[in-house]
Amino acid sequence: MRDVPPDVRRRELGGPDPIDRRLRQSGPPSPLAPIWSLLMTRSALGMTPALTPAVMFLSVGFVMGPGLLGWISPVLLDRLSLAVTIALAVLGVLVGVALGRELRHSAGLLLGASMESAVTTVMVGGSAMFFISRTGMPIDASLIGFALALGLCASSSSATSADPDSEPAAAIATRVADLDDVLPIALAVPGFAILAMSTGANLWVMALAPAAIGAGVGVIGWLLFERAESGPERVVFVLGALSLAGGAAAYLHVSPLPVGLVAGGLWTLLPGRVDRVVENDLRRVQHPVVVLLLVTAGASAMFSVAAVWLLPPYLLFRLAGKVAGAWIAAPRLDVRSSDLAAFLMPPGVLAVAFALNFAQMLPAGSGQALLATVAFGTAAFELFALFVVPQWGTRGRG
Amino acid sequence: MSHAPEPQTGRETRLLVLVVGVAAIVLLLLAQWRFPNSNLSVVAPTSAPLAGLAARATFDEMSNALGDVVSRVSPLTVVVPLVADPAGEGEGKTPAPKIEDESADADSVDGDAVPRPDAWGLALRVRDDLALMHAPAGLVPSEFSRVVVVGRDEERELLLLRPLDPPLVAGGDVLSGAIRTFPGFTFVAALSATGVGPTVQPVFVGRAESMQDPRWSHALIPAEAGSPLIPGALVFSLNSRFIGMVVGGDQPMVVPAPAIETLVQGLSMLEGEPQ
Repeated sequence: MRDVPPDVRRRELGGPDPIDRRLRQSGPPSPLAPIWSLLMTRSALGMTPALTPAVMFLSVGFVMGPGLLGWISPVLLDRLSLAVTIALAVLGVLVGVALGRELRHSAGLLLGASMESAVTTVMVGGSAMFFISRTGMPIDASLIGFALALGLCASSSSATSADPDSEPAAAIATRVADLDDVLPIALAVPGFAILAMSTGANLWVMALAPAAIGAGVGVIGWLLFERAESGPERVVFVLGALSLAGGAAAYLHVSPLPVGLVAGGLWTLLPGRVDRVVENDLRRVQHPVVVLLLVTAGASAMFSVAAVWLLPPYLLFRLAGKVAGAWIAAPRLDVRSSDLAAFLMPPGVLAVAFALNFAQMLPAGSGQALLATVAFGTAAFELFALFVVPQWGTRGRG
Repeated sequence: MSHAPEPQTGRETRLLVLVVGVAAIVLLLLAQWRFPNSNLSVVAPTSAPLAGLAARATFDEMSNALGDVVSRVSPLTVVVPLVADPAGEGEGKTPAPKIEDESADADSVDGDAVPRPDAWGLALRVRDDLALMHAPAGLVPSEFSRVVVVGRDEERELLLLRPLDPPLVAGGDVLSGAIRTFPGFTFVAALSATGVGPTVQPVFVGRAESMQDPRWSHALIPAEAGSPLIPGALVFSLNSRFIGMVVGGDQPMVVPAPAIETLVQGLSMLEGEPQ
């Protein structure tokens, strides 16, 4: 498989941004630096870092949320809804940019990653449908739509436990983790349409609006960004375009993730350097976006019987789905399936993003159940990766 | 890096079979249980992301608050169709309030159709398995209603019911979370029953000096403090806390939660219900 330049790898959570670089260059070393570097060392003492953003900020949000301290009130969560929508559009753009670049290098990788995510989606969605119907769990939404939403949340991977430059398997897993979000984001369009059927929404609008808005924002950005006369003016253009993407998606009750995906893909594929411009500007907001999504999800997640009920099948079949998906996709990607599955275990911020997005669309009860299940499941898989993944991976490689 | 596909080893396949097999077996075992009689937690309905930016009139705020109350407390209520009590007719009781609908019996012409009820009552789930409802004299739950009458207080015109359908939420805390002392001079949400579910009216309750009534254990609030408060209505605050139930009599009164707790305990003991 062809080597890929480091800048192609997006690393939605682990990639360095300007803040990281500034922190590394700054001043004399802290007395706590050895401890910090030990924590941040990959596989230190046989364990990957415990302080993954998902574990940290989901916990912070949960503690600060209405369920415990109440510092983040329901009113504030309601007000954050629009910011979350725009943040979702930003994530969609990041995935779209990664997709546009990888398409130039390897369409086979996209196919393998899509197969892996499709298998996970089907296994988690199918098991959820079976479990809900057999146990008589009441759902105030379309069962198919709810199960599809849960499956799409489960399919996301971030490969945060892998250093992409450490070994070939990690490099491939990182790129697969970047690209396995494409199919779920595309499937979010019919998912939203299924959930909107009960509200009498126009299905054609639901199906076509994300692509239309994304194409419109993409063309606007393509025409504007490179013509900006100064850096601040360009940043305003970029943020304005992303606000337009998120706002239009919210107005039409469609998912902002595919809107951003289309816009990001267009910016990469159209002539010019628009994708580089957007990427540079989005680096400044990458960490705040991740923190916003994770803290909001943590604060919105509340223990309920439904969430506890759904958690075991979610955990079991996401694990089984990743293993099965990796088993199917690995022969095409020159990597052992156990290595690939191990590196794909952490769900990352996109799982939480999917859950927040579907929770905006679902009725309140099932939206809460979905969000809580995915939030707790995400934290559980990050911890699972901490204890199990290195041993699992190294045993196979030995 | 080589271009040759990585062959699947036996270990990889065994790992796959093991993980999928364990997941399937555990799922089948878990699926043997039934979902407990509590449900998706009741939370405020999600609003559209742009809703927070839109300019809203004060009445829009009130509409949102009332819609919020209905969505939160509806699972704690049971709509009960009421019909004239056949045993009570001709005994000098107050005649049942008939709904003015000329087609009232039209549905019963067809032998399989459910007869149109004479009125609708709204019962409050005071426990997971018990609900309390005000029923005017001469009206009883229809035979097609999904409740069983387990207790009756004719003096106060109240029925203790056992709903046949499980609660959508654990309702045991509706009384414990109720407002114990109602200050008055505020808007409240008055829930009443319709054929398609509970509905709500905003009612401003003005001066609400409580009054003692020998029939009740706690002081009552005259319902005339809020003119549209009709007997049978359930009164909630705009943040969905229970205030009381309106009962009839010479003068409609709002019975506060402590008095309802006492009454339910009494009725339950009388009927041999477990506490």
